[in-house]
Amino acid sequence: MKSDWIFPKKIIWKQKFGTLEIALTIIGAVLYGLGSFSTMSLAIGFITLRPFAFIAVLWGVLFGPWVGGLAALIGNTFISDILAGWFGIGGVGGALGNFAMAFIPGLLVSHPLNKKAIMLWGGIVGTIICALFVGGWMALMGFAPFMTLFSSVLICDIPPNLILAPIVSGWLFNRVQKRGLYWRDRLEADKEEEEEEEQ
Amino acid sequence: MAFVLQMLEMGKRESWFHSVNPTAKLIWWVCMIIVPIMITNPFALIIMTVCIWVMAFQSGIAKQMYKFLIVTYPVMIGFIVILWPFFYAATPDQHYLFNWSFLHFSLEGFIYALAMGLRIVLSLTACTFFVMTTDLMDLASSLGEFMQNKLHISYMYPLMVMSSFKFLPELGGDYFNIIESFKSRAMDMDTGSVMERLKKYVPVAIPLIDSMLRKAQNIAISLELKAFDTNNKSRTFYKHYPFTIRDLFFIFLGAVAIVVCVVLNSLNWGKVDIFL
Repeated sequence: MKSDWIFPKKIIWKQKFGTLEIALTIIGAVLYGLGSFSTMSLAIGFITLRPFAFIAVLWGVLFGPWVGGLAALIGNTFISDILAGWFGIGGVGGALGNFAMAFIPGLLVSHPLNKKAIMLWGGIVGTIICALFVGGWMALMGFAPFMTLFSSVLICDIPPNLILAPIVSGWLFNRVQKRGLYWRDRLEADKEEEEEEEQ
Repeated sequence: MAFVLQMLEMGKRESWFHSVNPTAKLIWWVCMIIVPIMITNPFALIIMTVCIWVMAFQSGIAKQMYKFLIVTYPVMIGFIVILWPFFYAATPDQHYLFNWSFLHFSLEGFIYALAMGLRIVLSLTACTFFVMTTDLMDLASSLGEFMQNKLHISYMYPLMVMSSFKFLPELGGDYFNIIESFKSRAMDMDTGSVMERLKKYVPVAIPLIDSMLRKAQNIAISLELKAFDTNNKSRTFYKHYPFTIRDLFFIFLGAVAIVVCVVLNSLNWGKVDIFL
């Protein structure tokens, strides 16, 4: 079917967290946090231009929704926001929004080489949900009007997520797979191992 | 990068504020996040901000903190002060600087915008003070102990946060090495339009991510070697962070700020509306 690219055959909600997942979360958080913090000077008010925003989507697609989500949450909130002094302001909205931005493509992109799906779930849907969380939280706290922040996040995050995420994902997928780090492969391997043990 | 390292190092200095329990400082900071949510009275916000500036002076981080805030304040406040008046509900009794179609900018809107900006100033100042007086490793360790022993949450989560900070300098080093190797191959990273420069940075991202993946595998191996178990909730801690009178006093300071807000609100002095 032509529409197979939209959803994976099976949506996997659970992800086993072993030492490798922890390590990948740490590395993803460092990359995303430092990438966000280093471009902090390109700011529109609370929202910074983030050419490295694609790392969140990439981590979700390559290493799974929970690894990607936690890496984006830690990188954005505990590294970038804390170092920049913005934690108290954008805290909860930024944490949930960035988590969703990585979690959604991780959950719904069927394959890292499926560029259309990455563009749809990472570049558009995930980013819009992130903008909703950030803008909604700021408006709820009365710090700034909703539309201003909603549109700022979209302007900052859509270009890297829509253009760079699918390109870099295509470049990195083979290397990641060869190292045995691709999350769907690891899940299958775990399943096979369990079945062998049962037998 | 140098600034990040400097900021992280600042938390390791010695002063009365530095020696307060990291969890106590975290609670104080949460109070300082709640305060600007509760009140918008600009004078109350300014007084609390000045108190933190004085605390920064006492803790010996004044120079670096002021330097950082001087750059950050205008960006934050400028945006708010310029934008908020356009969204401020227009009424006929306001003093308009201009009022054309749906675009309006009134004195009342400007005062409201300033108050909103000051809320952010307080929050930003408190956060910067907290980061510069707290060793983030100590914080993660202290929180990890608290979360595991009191809330029965695995040490995995604090470990991820703590390790992220530990790997910041390494990532920075790798990044500069890659940049230098590109430069040594005659790639000019610093010239060209913004788009051209961005394009030049894309090939930098690939080896950087690749080398970080190698590092991730090394971390996983070392965690395995140390028999790290994500489900283990009886882990012991090398350093303990007991609460002392000093820590309780620091939390008390945060609680006082919240009580002041409650009192101001009950007297109807808590909101900026009294000046409009």
